Amino acid sequence: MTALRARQVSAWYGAHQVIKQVDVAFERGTWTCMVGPNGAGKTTLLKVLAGLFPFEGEVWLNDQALQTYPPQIRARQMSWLSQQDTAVDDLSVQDVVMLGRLPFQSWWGGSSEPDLAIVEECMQSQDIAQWRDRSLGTLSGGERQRVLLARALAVRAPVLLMDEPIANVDMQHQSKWLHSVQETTRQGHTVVSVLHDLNLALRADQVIVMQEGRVLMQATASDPLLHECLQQVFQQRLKFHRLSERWVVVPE
Amino acid sequence: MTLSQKKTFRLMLWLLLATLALWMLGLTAGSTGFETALGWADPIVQEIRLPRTLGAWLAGALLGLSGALAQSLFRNPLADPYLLGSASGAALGVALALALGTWAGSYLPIDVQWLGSWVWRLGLTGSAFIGAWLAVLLTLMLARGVQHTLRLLLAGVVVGVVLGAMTSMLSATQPQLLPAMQSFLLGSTSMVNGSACVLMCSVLVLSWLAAWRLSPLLDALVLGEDTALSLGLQVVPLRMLLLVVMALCTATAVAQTGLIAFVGLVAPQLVRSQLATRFAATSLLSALTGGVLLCAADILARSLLAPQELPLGILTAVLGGGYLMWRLRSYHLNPEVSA
Amino acid sequence: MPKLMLLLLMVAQSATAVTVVDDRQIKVEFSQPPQRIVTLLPSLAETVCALGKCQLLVGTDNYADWPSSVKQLPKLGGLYDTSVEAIVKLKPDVVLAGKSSRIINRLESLGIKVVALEPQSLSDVQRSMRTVAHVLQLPQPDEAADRLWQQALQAIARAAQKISPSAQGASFYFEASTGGYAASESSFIGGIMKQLGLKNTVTSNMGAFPQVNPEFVVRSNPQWIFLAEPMAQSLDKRPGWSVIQAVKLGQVCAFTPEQGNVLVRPGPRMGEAATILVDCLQRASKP
Repeated sequence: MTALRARQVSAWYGAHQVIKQVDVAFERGTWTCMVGPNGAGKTTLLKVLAGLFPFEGEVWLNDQALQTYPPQIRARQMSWLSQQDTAVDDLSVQDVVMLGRLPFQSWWGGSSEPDLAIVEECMQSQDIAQWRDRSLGTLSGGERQRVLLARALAVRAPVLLMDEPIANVDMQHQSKWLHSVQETTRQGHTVVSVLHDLNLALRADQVIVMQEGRVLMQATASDPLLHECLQQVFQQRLKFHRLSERWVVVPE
Repeated sequence: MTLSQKKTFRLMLWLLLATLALWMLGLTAGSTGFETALGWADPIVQEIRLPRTLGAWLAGALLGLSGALAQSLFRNPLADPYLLGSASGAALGVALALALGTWAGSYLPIDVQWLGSWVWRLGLTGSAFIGAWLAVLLTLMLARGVQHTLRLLLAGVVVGVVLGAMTSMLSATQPQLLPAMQSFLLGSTSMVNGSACVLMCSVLVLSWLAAWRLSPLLDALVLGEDTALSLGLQVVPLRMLLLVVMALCTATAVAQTGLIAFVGLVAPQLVRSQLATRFAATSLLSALTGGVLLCAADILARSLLAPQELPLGILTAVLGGGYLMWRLRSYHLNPEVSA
Repeated sequence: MPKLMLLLLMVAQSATAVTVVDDRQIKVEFSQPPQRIVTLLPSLAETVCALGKCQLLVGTDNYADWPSSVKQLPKLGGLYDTSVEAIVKLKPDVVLAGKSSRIINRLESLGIKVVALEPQSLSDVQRSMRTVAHVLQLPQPDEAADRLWQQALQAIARAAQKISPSAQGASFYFEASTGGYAASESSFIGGIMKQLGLKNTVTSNMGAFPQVNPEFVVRSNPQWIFLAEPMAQSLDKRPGWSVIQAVKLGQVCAFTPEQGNVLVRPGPRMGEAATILVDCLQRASKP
């Protein structure tokens, strides 16, 4: 069952075409990772899928065209996580995570009991409950990202789109994130992420390789054709090793 | 109650107590310094001191709310209510009204005498209000909407500079305008009467209600525009609405009391230095803080050199500037602590 | 003998070099009486003409308009945009300017003599008249100036006599400009009012043009209020002012722009200023 699909999608930055007639599909309950060199268009494609970037072509969410979704319904179906870029970080951690429940709150209601329970659970799972009253601005980069992840998870959306969610996170919490993702997909949710770290990317169910706005390949992590494709894209500068049941990639 | 809720409640209590104390004090601050000789029913107290005290508080609250909106909308702690050119628009409105309406009009080369009496009926208050609004409209047109905050900021700067130049040109060719302009530019509550207070109060209540209803947008914007959009919020139309509310608050305050510096900048910063919380609470506390600040400054302005008055803007500049200098100093000592 | 006469004559000639001290406390020396005079303040042009040397004026500022012959002279600018070039072209022997004129240094560096005078109070006027008389090198300059001064004072006294008994010695509040700037006793207009025997509610310890608390005006309850015409219409709308005597009895004197010009010129036409004020009093007061 396809949760999210793009057909013949193109997008432009001014006159420059960054996505060229891309076809991709994401099955329900899977974790797909998009990789590729800088400027391949991975983040842009993710934004297109989230409905945050203008495009030509078709995007289908649960077999319904993305543009036909009212904003609040779409917000309940898809959760978005990207790098933060603000200057005035004056919300407390709990308030930030609670923002994830916005799509379910009406204009005159505040947070309900279930909302509070969900927020508490997300904070616990990301190990940030002890900071609940601290201002976001007093946390380090990696700690902040865990808070943002908790916020994205609090939406409890069937589809999760994440752009570089663990760039500054320490290894221990990278492992926790991996487990969160795997748990989420086990519950039937769909995860699409953009990652720079190929090792983590190869832990996904599906890997999509992009280059210069085109999708070159979509395959499983252990597929040798995928490894060849990656070698080509990264200009033969990779070395693949098998370590127990996992694939490990190191720079040449 | 969470910790931040407790802190919010405590701060609000303090501010309300300070407000009551200042209102009482304001009723005794007159042209002979502080005195309690005049009773509550005395017309001087009713018609002069009461409206001035309340008016100062209300104008300060409007500026505080507006400043909180500005700093949240533009995600910049240096944003103030006059960002979109409303200050220069109001000043130009007043300068034009003075030039057309007063004796200086007879020196103008073209025949605009008919405009003079019409403008005078509008009064300086109306001219300042309209001027502020036209400037904001101009900024919005120049920025072609509220899509990009950076473009808005730049457009606001441009409009401010151009309108300021026009005002300077007007007062350079008509130097008789200068004393009256000075009085407006530095701010004063001497012309505030009962109906002005009622007006400011209604605008304050309406604006705060609107800001409260729209506060989820401002909270979500902490995470960036994309995330706010992904949470189902209609960022652009809501931003436009909030800017309109901001312009309304600023124009109302400026029309009644002139240009008052620093209150809109400092009030939200003071609140945020005490606690980090959602915009609904921050906006209310900023309004209360602004009210307390301006009310205190007005009482000082009226009583320090009684029966002479100090211009209000000078006091707020000294107090506000002093506060910012102190913050800068402590920033130097602790660069890791976020501003 | 003729040689001695020649020597005496030469000594006498050099003795006519006159030194004048202006309001900046700067000494300006004149070896001869100036023949070409530029004035940058209307009151100074009026003083020169009143001392009988109108024909020496070669240029004035934009606002000088008395006597009418002065209007034909080249205009050199307003308060802030005086044209240095135009002044230099006129080749003046001396420029009489206000103390706050910004081009004084420029003119002096171009070799033009500048005498800076800025009469603020009534007594300043007498002093500036004397200084101008000295610049003009009139025979017995102090006496000539004092005669002019006495004439002006007498004109004021004559105006004072026209004040009806009910308005004599009345208290007043004079608003000099919009924005609440009042004219106190130490200002020029305040001095004239004092000569007319009227009591200013704003005393001189507050400076010449203080910004007063409106409450102060209400409490001092003046019998008369003087202010510029457009502001007079909304006087009762000012918070608390409806209880003031002057407002209740309609004893408000509003002056037009032309009258306003005369009122703020501290020069020989003080009598006219006084007349304007008294005429207004008579129009609005009860017999």
